[in-house]
Amino acid sequence: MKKIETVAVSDKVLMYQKIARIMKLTVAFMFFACLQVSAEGWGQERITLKMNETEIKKVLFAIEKKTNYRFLFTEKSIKGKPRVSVDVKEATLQEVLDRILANTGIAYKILGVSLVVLKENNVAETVMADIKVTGRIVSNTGEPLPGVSVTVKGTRLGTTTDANGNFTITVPDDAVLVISSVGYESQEISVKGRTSLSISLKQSEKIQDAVVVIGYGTAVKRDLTGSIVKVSGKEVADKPNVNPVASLQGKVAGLSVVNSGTPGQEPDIRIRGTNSLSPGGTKPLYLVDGIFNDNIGFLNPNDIESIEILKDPSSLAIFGVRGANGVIAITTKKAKSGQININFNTTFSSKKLVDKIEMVNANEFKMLFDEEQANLGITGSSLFDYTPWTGNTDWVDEMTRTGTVITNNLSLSSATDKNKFYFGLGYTNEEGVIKHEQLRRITFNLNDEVKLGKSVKLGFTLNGVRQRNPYSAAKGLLFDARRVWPITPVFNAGRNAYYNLAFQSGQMTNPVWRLEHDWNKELVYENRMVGSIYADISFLKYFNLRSAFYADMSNVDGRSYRPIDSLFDPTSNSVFIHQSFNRTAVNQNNQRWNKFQQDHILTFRKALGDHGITALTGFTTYYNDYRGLFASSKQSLTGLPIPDDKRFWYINNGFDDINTRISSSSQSERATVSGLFRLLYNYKGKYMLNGSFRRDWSSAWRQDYGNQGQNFYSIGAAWEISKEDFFQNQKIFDYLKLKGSWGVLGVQNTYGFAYPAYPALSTSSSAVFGDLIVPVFVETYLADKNLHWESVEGKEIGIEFDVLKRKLHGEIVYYHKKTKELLALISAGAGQQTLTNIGNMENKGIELSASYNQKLAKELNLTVSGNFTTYNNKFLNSPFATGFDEQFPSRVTAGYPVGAFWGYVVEGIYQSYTDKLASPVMNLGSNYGPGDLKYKDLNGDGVVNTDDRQMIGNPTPDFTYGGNITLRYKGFDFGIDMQGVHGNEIYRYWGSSELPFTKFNYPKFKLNRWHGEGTSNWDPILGDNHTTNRLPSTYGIEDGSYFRIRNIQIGYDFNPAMLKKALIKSLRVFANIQNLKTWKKNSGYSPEFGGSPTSFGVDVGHDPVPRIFSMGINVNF
Amino acid sequence: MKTYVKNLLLITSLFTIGVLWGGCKKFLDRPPLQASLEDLNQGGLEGQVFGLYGNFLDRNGAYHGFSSIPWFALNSFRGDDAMKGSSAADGADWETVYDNFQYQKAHWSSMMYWDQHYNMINKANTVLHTADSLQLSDPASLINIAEAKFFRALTYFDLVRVYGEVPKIDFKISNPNDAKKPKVPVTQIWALIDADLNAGIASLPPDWNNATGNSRFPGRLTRYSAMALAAKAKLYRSDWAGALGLCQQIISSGKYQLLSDYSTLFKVEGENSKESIFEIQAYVGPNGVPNSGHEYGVEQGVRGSGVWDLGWGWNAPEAGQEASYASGDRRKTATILYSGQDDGYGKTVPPFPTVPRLYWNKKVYPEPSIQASTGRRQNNWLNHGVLRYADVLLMAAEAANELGGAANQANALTWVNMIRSRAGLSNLAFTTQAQLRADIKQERRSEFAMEGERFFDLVRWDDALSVLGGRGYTACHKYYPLPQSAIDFSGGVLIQNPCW
Repeated sequence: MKKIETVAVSDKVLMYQKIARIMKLTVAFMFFACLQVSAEGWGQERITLKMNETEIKKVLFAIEKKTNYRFLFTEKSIKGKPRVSVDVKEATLQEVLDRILANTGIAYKILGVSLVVLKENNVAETVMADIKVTGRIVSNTGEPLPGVSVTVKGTRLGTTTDANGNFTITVPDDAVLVISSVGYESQEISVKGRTSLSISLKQSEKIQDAVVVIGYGTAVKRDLTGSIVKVSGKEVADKPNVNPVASLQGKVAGLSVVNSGTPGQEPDIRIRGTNSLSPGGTKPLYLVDGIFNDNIGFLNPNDIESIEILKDPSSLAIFGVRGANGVIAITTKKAKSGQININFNTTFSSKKLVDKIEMVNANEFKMLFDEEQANLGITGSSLFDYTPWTGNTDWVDEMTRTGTVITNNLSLSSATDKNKFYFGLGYTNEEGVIKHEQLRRITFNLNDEVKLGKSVKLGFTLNGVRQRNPYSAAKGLLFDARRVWPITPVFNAGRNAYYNLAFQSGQMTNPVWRLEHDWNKELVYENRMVGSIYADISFLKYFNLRSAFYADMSNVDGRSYRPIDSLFDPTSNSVFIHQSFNRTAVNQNNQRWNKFQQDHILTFRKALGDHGITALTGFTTYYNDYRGLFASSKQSLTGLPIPDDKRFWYINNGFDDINTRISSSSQSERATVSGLFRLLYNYKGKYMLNGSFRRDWSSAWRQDYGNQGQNFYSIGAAWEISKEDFFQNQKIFDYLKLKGSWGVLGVQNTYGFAYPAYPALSTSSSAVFGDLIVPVFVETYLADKNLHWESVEGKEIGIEFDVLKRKLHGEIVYYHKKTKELLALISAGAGQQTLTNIGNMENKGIELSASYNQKLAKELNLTVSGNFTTYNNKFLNSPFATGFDEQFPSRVTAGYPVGAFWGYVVEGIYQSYTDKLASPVMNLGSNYGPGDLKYKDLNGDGVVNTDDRQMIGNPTPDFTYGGNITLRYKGFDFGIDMQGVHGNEIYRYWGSSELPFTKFNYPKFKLNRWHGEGTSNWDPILGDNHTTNRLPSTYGIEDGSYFRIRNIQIGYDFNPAMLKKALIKSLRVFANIQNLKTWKKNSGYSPEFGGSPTSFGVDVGHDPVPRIFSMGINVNF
Repeated sequence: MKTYVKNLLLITSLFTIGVLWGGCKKFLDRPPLQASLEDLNQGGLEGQVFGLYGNFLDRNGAYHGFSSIPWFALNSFRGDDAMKGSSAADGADWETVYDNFQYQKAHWSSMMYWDQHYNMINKANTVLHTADSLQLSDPASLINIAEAKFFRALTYFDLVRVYGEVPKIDFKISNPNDAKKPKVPVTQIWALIDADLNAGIASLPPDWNNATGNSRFPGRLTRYSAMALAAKAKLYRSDWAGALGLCQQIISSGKYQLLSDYSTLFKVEGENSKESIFEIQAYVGPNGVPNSGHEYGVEQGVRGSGVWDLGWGWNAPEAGQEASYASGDRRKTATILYSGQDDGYGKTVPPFPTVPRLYWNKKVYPEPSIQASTGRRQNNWLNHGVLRYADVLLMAAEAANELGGAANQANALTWVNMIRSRAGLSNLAFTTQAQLRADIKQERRSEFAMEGERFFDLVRWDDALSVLGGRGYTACHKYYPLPQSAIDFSGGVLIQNPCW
């Protein structure tokens, strides 16, 4: 690098500059930084210029435009100087300057290679002595910061730091240096004669200064009119969740995350309520480095740089038909300028089932079952014979264990000006709380960006994952475990066989037997590669063209084996071969998904005086296809069994009966073409206007029906009031912004049908004539010619503010979304289904979020943040209502929240016949009497009948909230995350309206059952023959509110100085506990129950959410 | 150089965009990657009709309405031949609701029964709509139309017997609102049944035989299937002449005869036999492949453990049924499987209370030879007989006896004696009309025990109150309450049955 030559500048002269000039200066310095590296040296650039009678300033600008020279001067110094004329060809800079500055009293000095300082001669004589200052700028975590701007306050003079954070500048010895970098708080440093400076920059905590990902680009949050929340990758990296979105629970206002306990399983995510009725129709769009996706199962949480949650119409309209449910945009880690960085981290976690569902033990079971048999009038030899059933088994305990999770990640990154390279490798071994449930996966992330010259960037990204999936039936078997009678022993050691179930074998099998025998007979591997290549070209100064091609290719390869299996039956004291496991069989299948996307985006960005414009137009296509092939075969009736050895678990295994080979396939494809446009405009940085438009054409609709294309658009406006002059006199707000937006967004919902306009032909049955099997052609539903995408009209209005000297930042937003022409599969009564656009649905609420920073003492910092969201869902006018199931109470009815529970209101229990006679007559069909639930006569007509049902619960909470407290002291940090849900109801299906096809084990609360006058006024008499007690009613309703300490974390960062000798840049150790404690009011495993958009919050006895303790270490070399 | 790269990339990108704009229409035209009805000749009419046959095996289709526990509950438990079965504590509610006549407005069974019957009706209507909109009138299409109408009639016949007045849906529902229809008087439902079956009688072929006299489609509907159902529909309305006329056409066709051994009817060898008029088909091939079965037999199989785990044990014979057979009636041991006794194949059924009942339905017993060939223990391969020649003979006898007159009485006696003789019983002689009526009732009870006939027979003979009154049957129990789910769906258009 060339040295910067000494220059004499007076800060007095150069002190007063206009803001516009400073902006220009920044640009100048950016160029300057580049030139330091690339320009060849002084005096080589020749100038050709012809200008007549022009102001000196304009001549200088003309030179700036044509060359790499940059001029530093004050308006004052050239004000009033005579106009000049130049006409030079291939002249040197000195020649030109000498000519135009002649007789003006202005002297010039050339600094470094291309910076020219102009000054009035008389002042130049009095300049102070200059000194050469060198310095190093690091972040508060000790990382060197490249590209930081270092300027002399009040001047255009300055430099930027190199890749190692070093800079050198020659300045007057009393200069004040302004150090600034995007994302960091600016600092002013008085040189005071020092020649060596060490500066540590603090990351800007001003939320409005964050650069956020918006569709097809990035922007500073300050310039936007919408609501985007940025979450740092660090928040998800060290949490024990394979799926990174699981870690967002409680962190973001408006984002509801309902986790399930299964390793790797995607949580049920809804942003700002339930916007669709379709299964999967409430899922947000995931945007990973630009590629659209419906899941992010392939990502390693450690490779995530940041996550942005886009919630409002003005941010979402650009995503067209996929925007209405919100967008979760993920940016993966890229190399940061700096030397080679190697990061290694490892985490060990231990998982435990907590909040187990309480079921009765063997003695309690016998007592209850005896009572129930008596109630049923069963006597004598028809009574169940307990003799051979001597167990006292807690089946849930038999199925579960303490699981461990091990995560290791290694990354390598390196960046120079020309090339940025990042490589990450991760390995996770996650055990579930169900025995043998295990997910193993390896991920990698590779990306590189090459800069060709100044304006062309080429790059690629590649994410890969290979995983072995957990045993798929585990969850279902845990579900069964709850229902097995405790008197059934698990295993008979003497006969070396698992027990057949007492009584229940007609409908269920021993879940421990299946788990122990089958978990390793299923081999399911998933492979996925997600990659992109892109070119980014800047041209004509204000334009940028970015073309990117994306591919996401995945496959699931599965094989499974069915062994010959026996059970022990104590009633006959024999071991017998189970009828479903009397012959070996294999299954083999392969499914693959391809997704291809291309984006071509042209961006124009220019500041025209007070007008800031970023306009964007683009063209994008998306194509996805799916192919699945499934096959099975069995051992022959007379031949050898297929061995229990995975070598043979293929269709062609040499042992099978070829006549038993069955195959089938499934396939579909879809294409979308879209055009889009967006304008981000601001005036004086105070008034913001954002508009976007997108038209999506989709092959989902038929071309001959003529409705393939649909428009989506939005407009938003914001006003940064705190920039107004009239606002400068108040002391409350340091920042205040008012914002609002409106738009029409889409939901790409086809109710799970690949070809909604072509009803699929049923494959679930064939016609049989004797032994002739004939294919059938029956449409599974009726299609509607006018089918089209449902759309969501969204609105929001809100404010953002900083108060208390910027220590408290807050945002308050009111949102309203109306889904129009909901697309739904309507059961037209009696099994005839029609896919059609029906009524409207509304979601509205308020989101609050705030964060507060306070320095409590020297090196002791406190950060408190919180969020709060209200929800209000209502299914509006529609001629249809759905969900008339007699077991499940979830309904979609006009005027009520989606999925509302319907049923009777329990007033108590009929204690006696006198009580029955004194109460309104219950006309529900069956007889009833003492011990039965007494339903309330809601309409007061003296009869309890089907008119006395009402909404008895709402699965959508009134509000959800989350909070975080972080304390930092020196290297220590301590954080606690809390989260809660309030005001929703859960319907407990088990123990209420669960179909009793066999007799299940009793929940513990059945010990409180009515068994004589005055024994209970809530839990009814035992006996499935009392059918009225099984009708959906408030007996099954439980309060879904809960509060949870989601995470507690403590960490320590070692002092970098101490680590230097070991060549370690940073070292962090941490420990955390996830789900430490949940204060819940329901009796299920957890208070969290996702589901379909029309039926959720129903506790069928699934989904324990474990407590996880983790420890980890993170090292940077 | 830099400019060159820049321009190259720019041009490439613009070119790509151009090509893609041009290709957009093609890019977006993506019909499904498998057949839709539009790809099939005549809208896939025959395939759609086959779909009606297949619908009986489809768990999301009509299966639960015709061959599963909701069907047993509404068509069989209520009679005095059969009861819920299984162990007392298993499905105790079903026994209360159906055996003890505490009808429940919202019970899963009735909802499934209703929905899956209307599912069949809607599918049949869709077939008819296709034929109608394509104006198909060729002979093959006329057969298909007649088949769809038969299935619609069969389904309405169940509905009108179970619920009485029901909504008449005889059109394709294209707007879900169209399905919200009020009930119509039973006469309208009967009229629809008659009209549909007349179309069947007119268009269905007498058989599906090929040149060598073997059926190309064993068990597919024939003209006589429609006649038999039409006769039954008339019998239920005491249209004796109409019923007799149709039965006589079937008898005189010579296409049908009684199997010599009653028990063969309930074995694989008796499927689609000379006696069969309509059966819901099931087939499970060697080694269990293909597996196009239904669980009609599984749900009724012996509820034992180990090798005696043959099913759920539902729909079991009542003690009264066991006691009702005349001595020497071969049908008794073909109908009732006794716990603790020989199964007829040399194995002993475990005794009560090792298995939770004394009697099981022998008519669905899994033959050991088929167990061996399919590799399955539980019987999911057996056809579910719906109409057979014995029924035609007894219907003819009943109608003739009711019409009276020497010739009719003689015929009636002949037909009853054909049934008795096959059962190993002596011939009856004519004494009085009432006596013969009683004999026919007894023959129907013995002949069709466990087959879902008895309750409806008792109701139409007005015997239900006297026979079932002790269990809780009243006049109100003739018709089951409409499922609450259907009433809820209709938004008040559908009115609950009287008494409920």
